[in-house]
Amino acid sequence: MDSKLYRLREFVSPRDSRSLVVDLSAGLALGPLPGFERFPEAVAPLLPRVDGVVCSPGQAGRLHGRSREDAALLVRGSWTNALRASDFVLPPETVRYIPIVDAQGALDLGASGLVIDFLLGYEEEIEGACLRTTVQLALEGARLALPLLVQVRPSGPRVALRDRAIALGVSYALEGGADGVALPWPGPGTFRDIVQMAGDRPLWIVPSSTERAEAEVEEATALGAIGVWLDPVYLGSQDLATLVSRFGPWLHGAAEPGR
Amino acid sequence: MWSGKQVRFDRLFNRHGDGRAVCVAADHGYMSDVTPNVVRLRPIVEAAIRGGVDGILLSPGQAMRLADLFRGRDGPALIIRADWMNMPRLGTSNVANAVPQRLLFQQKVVTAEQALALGASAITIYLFLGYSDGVEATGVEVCSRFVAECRKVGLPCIIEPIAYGRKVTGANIVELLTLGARMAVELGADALKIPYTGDVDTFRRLCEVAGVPVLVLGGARSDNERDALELFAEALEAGARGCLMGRNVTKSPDPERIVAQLCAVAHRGWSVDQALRGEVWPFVRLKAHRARCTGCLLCQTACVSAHEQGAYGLSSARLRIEASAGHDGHRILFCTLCGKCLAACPTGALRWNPSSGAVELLPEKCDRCGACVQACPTGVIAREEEGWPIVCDLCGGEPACAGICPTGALEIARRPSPFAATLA
Amino acid sequence: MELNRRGYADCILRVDLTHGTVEKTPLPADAMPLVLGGKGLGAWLLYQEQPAGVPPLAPENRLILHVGPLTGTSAPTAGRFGCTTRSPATGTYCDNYSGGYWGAALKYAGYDALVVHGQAAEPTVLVIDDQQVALEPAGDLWGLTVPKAQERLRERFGSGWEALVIGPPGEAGRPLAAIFNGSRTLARGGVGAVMGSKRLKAIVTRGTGRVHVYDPERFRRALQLAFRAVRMSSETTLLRQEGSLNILEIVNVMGALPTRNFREGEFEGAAALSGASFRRHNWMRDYACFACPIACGKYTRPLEDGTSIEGPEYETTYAFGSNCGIADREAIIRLNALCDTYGIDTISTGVIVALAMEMFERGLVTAADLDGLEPRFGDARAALALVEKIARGEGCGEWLGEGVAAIARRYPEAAPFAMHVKGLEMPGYHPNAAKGTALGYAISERGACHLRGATLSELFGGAADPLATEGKAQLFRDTQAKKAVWDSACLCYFSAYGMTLKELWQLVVACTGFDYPTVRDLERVGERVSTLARLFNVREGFDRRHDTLPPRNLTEPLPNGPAAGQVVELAPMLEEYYRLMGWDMRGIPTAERLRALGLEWAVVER
Repeated sequence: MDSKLYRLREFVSPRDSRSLVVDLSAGLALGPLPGFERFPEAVAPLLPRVDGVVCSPGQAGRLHGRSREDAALLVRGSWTNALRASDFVLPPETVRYIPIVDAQGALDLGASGLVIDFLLGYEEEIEGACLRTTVQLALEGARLALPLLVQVRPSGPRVALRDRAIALGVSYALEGGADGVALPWPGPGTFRDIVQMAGDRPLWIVPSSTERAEAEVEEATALGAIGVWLDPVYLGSQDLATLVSRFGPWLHGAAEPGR
Repeated sequence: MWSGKQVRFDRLFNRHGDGRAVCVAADHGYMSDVTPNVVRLRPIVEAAIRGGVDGILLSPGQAMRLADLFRGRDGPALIIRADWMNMPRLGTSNVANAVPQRLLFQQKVVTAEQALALGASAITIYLFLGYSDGVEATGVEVCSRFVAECRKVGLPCIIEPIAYGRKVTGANIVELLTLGARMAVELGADALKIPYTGDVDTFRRLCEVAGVPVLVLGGARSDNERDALELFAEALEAGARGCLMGRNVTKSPDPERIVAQLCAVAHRGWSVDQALRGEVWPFVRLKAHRARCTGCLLCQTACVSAHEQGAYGLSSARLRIEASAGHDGHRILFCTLCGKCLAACPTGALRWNPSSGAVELLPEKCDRCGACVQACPTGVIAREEEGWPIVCDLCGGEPACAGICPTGALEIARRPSPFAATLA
Repeated sequence: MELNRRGYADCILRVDLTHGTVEKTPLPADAMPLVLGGKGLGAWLLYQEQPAGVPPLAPENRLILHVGPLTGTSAPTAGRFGCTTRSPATGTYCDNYSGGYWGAALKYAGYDALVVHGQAAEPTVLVIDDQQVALEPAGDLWGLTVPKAQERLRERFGSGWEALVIGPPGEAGRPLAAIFNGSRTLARGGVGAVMGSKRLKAIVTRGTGRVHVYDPERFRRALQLAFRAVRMSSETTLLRQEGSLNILEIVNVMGALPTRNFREGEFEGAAALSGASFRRHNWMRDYACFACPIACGKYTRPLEDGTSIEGPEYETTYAFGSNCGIADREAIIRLNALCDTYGIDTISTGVIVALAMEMFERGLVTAADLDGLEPRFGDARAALALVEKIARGEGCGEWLGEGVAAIARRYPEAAPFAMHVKGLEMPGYHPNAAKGTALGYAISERGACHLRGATLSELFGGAADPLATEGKAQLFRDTQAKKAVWDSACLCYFSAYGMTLKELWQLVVACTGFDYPTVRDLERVGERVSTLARLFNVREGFDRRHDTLPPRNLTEPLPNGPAAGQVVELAPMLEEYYRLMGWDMRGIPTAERLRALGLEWAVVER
C-alpha cells in the first residue's frame, strides 16, 4: 500500500469504501453562491457530515481548525469559465481552461487530493489542455503521493451523444492517470462499461439536480459507484444540507436514502 | 499562515495596532504615459511618508531607486507592483497617448521571490474582468502563479480586480467587482485592492463575500478634496481595512496633507470635516471667487432644497447668481454677514443665531416692514408671499450652496466668533 | 399616482397654432414608468398622436419639446431638454437635445412637455409665463438672425426669461435649420424648419415654480454619489479643461478623424485644432449649462472684428476643420459664428462644404456651378463664402443647403462619397476606424449619429479593439439602451463620463419612486424607448434597406493611419444586432419582443 492510497482513504471511508464529497469550489468562476457568501461560516457545519470537501486554493488556505471528525480537504486545481450560464453577469464567449495549482501547491495547503475538470465538447485546445493537465498532475501526484481526481464535465456544445461522451471523458481521465473520477450519471448501460474500465479506481456520481439525485445515486451505487459528489451549482444551496444529511448516513450503511 | 507572511502582513496592516492601513499607489510610471506625478516621484513619496503613510506601492525599479526612503523602524511598508498592463494607454482618459495601444495586455514581470528580495511586504497584481475571456483567463493564470510563489516565500499577495472593457455596464459593474473580489480570494489573495462600488451597502457586501482585508482605491483625482476622504470614510464604514490611493494623492498639490487627512480618518476615527479642516470650526461664513463661477445655478437649487424638503427651484433662494451671457463673468450675491439688516430692523426681529452665528429671524418680533430687504447691500433677502423676510441661515453651519458648488466659486471659510466682542 | 410628487409637473402644454388655442393635459400616468420622460415621452407622444405619413413641414407634424423627471432638480446636468418631431432632412423620427437654461424654465413653469402643431396665420412668438400662456405677433422678429432676435426678445421681455429662437433658414423651411437656446442648439435634422413652417419664431419662457422629488432624503444621498462620480473622473476634468475638443487628438491618433470628406482618417493639422490649442490661444472663460458641474462650454476671445462664439465643439471643429482640410482655428471660429448667426447645423454644413470641395477637385462641378467659387480642401475663404451662401440660401447655396443626399441626387457621381445615412450628414468619427460606431451610424433612428448609442468607448474608452466587429452588436445595444435612458431621464451625456447607469438609477428611483428594483429594469426603459423610435420609422416605411452606410465606408479602404486598409463589414453586425433586439431580418421589431417590452398596443399585422 503506497501513501497515495493512504491519502485517498482520508476521504474514502476505509470501513465501507464509500465517500460523500461536497464541492464548494465554484466561487472560483462564479463568485459568491447564495448561502456561501461568508465561506468559513457556511462550510463549518458541513465539515463533520461529509468525507471530503473540495475547496479553491484560496479558501483551502483559510480552512483552519479542522478536527479528526471533519472532512478531508480536496483542492481544486483548475479554473474554467465554462460553468457560467448565458444569464451570468459575465457570460462566456469563448471557453477557457487554466490549471491554477500543482500537486506540490495542493500538498502545501494540506490537501488529501487534487481535483481538476475534464471539459468535453468545446474547442480542440480545451480538450488538449485538459489531457495535458491530467497527465502532468498525475505524474507529479504519483511522485508526491497525492491522489488526482478528475471531474468529467460533458457540457460543451459539440457533445453529440452525452452518455458516450461521459464514457470518453472517464476513459481519458484514467488514461491520463486519474486516481478517481467524478462524473454525471450516464445511464446504466454506459455506466457498466465505465465501472469495468475504472477497475479499482473510485467513481463518484455528480447528481444533475435535486429532483433526480436520489434515483441517480441509488442506481449508480448499485452498479459500483463508491460515492456521491454534491455541487451546489447544480443543486441549489438550500438543498445541499438536506442532501448531505440524506446521503451521508445512507452511503455509510446507516439508513436508506430519502426514507 | 507562515510566520514570515504574518510578519510582513502586520508590517503593512498593523503599524498602528488597529488593523488598518493607509497606502499610496505610486506605480503609475510603470503603466501610464509620463505625467507630472511620474516625473517628480521622489518628492511625492517623501511627502506621503511625512504625512504618515503605512505602505507605498512602487514598481520594482522605483523600489530600488527609492529604497532609502523605506529605512528605519518607522519607515512605510513597501508593496511591489509585480505585473504590468497597458490599460492607461488604451485612451481610457481621453488622452492622446504617445504610443497608443489597441488591445489590453497583462504580463507577469517579476517573481514573488524577487519582490521579497527588494524588501517588499506585499505584492499587488491585476485581475481583469469584462474585457474578454482571454484577458480574464490570463489574469487567473498570472494570479494563481503569484499566489503559489507568494505561498512559498511567505509574502502577502494583494490582488486588484478591475472591471473594464466592453462587457462592463453601469448595470453590472457592482456584480462584476463583487465577482472579481470573490474570485481573487478563491484564487488565494491575502488582501484585495479594489475600486469603491459607489455606495456603502454594495461595498459592505463586497467586503463580506471577500472575507479578507480590503483596501479601497481612489480612482481619478477629484478637484474637490472632500471626495477622496468621503469615499474612504464610507469604505471604512462598509468594512474596508484601508486604502491604496493613487492619483488623489500623487496628483495633489499637497500629498502630505491628503495622506495626513486619510490617516486621521483611518487611525484616529476623525470625521471627514474634522480631517479636512484639522479642527472643528464653530462658526463659518461664505466666501466667493467670482472668476470661478460658471453660472450653473446649482447653488440656488441647493439652497431651495435645503430649506424646502424635497423641492428644487430657483426663486426665493437665499443667494443669487446674476448670470451674464457676456464675457465678463457672473456676479455671486450672497449674505456676507455684514449685519446691516440687523441694524436696520426697527423691532429687533433679526439677531445672530447663537449656535450658527448666521442671521436669524424672530417672527414674533417681526412686523414685516421690509426695512431689512431695503438695507441688504447684496439684495439677497427675499420675501415670502405674506411679506416675511427670507434670510440666509448658513444652513445651520454647513451651507448647501458651497457644498454643491462644483468649481469652488463658493467656499466655506472659518469665521471668528461673532460673539467674541460681547464676551470680552 | 401623484406624478407631481415624483419629479414631474404632470402637465403637457398643447398649443394649436392654426386655431390659436392652448390646452393643458395630464401626463399619461401609466406610461411614465415605461418611458420615464424626455426622449421616452417624446417618442410615446409622437408615435401615438401623429398619424402616419404626415409630411415634416406640414402643419400636422408635431414639434414636441420635452424635459425629464430630473430636469430642474440639482442632479448633475439636469437642465437638459429635447425635442422630437419628424425630420424634414430625413423623413425619420428625429430627436435633439440641448443644454442651456430653457429646459429648467419650462419645468419650473409647470410643464413636462410642450406639443406644438398647426400653423399660425402670421409670425408668432409663444409666451409661457408660468401658468399664463399667450401667442403674440412676431412680425418685427421675422427675418432677423438668431442674435438679433434674441436681443429684441431681451428688450421686449427683460431678464428672467429664456428663449428658443430660429433664424431665417428656419423660417424658410431649410433642412439645415436649427433651434437656438442661448448659445446652445437643437441642431440636427432641420428641427428649426419644422418650427419655422409653423410660423413660430420664438418660444419665451419664465418659470418660478418647484420640482418635487419622491424621496427627498434618498434623492439627496443619490445626488451626493452622482456628483462625486462626476468629479472623480479624468474625462470630466478634461472636458472642463478642453471642452468636447479634448478628444480630437486621440480620435486622430486612432486614425478615426474624418479628413477631407472622409477620404482619410488622419489629419496633419490636428494639433492646431486640439482643445489644448484652443485653450492656449482662443478661449477665455468657461460656460456651464443649468446644474452642470462640468462646464465644458468655452467662450472665445473676440477676434479683431469682434467675432466671438461659445465654442467650437468637437463636431464643429471636425466638420469645418479636418473634414474640409482646414487647420486654422480662426477660420473655424468664423465658420461657427456664421452658422450660429443664421441658425444652421454646423455638422451638416461642414459635411456639405467638404462634399462641394471634393466634387470641385474631381471636376464634378466647376466654378460656374458654384457662383465663381473654386473650393479646394484647405481653402478657408472658399468655405466661408460657401457657408454664407448656404445660410442665406442664395445662388449655389440654395441647392447645397438641401443636404448631401439631395446633392447626390442632383449629381449621382457624387453618391459614393456623399457622407450621410438616411439623409443626415455624418458626425466626426470615421466608421472605417471604429466598427461599433459604424453600426451606430447605420442604425440610428435619426440618420447618421454618434449620440444614439454609437460605441465611442471603443475609441477613447479602450473598451474593445475599434477595428474588430466581434462583440460590437452587443456593445452597441448596451450603449444604445444607456443613451436612451440618459435622454429619457434627460441628462447631458457628458455626465455619463463620470456617472454610470447605476448612479443614474439611484437618482431616478429616488426622484420618481418608480418600481425599478435593479439597474437592469431602468436599462430596459432604454431598449423600449429606442424600439418606439424604430417603430415610428418602420411606420414611415424605413427598414433594413436604410440601415446602411455610404459606399466610401463599405468598399473604400482607408488609405493611411492606424486603420489603413479598413472597410466596414456591416451586414454581420447588423444581423447580430437585429437578433439581440428581437427584430426580424428586415429590421422590424417582432410582435413577441414588443409584448415583452410592454408595447403590445404597438403590435400590428405586417
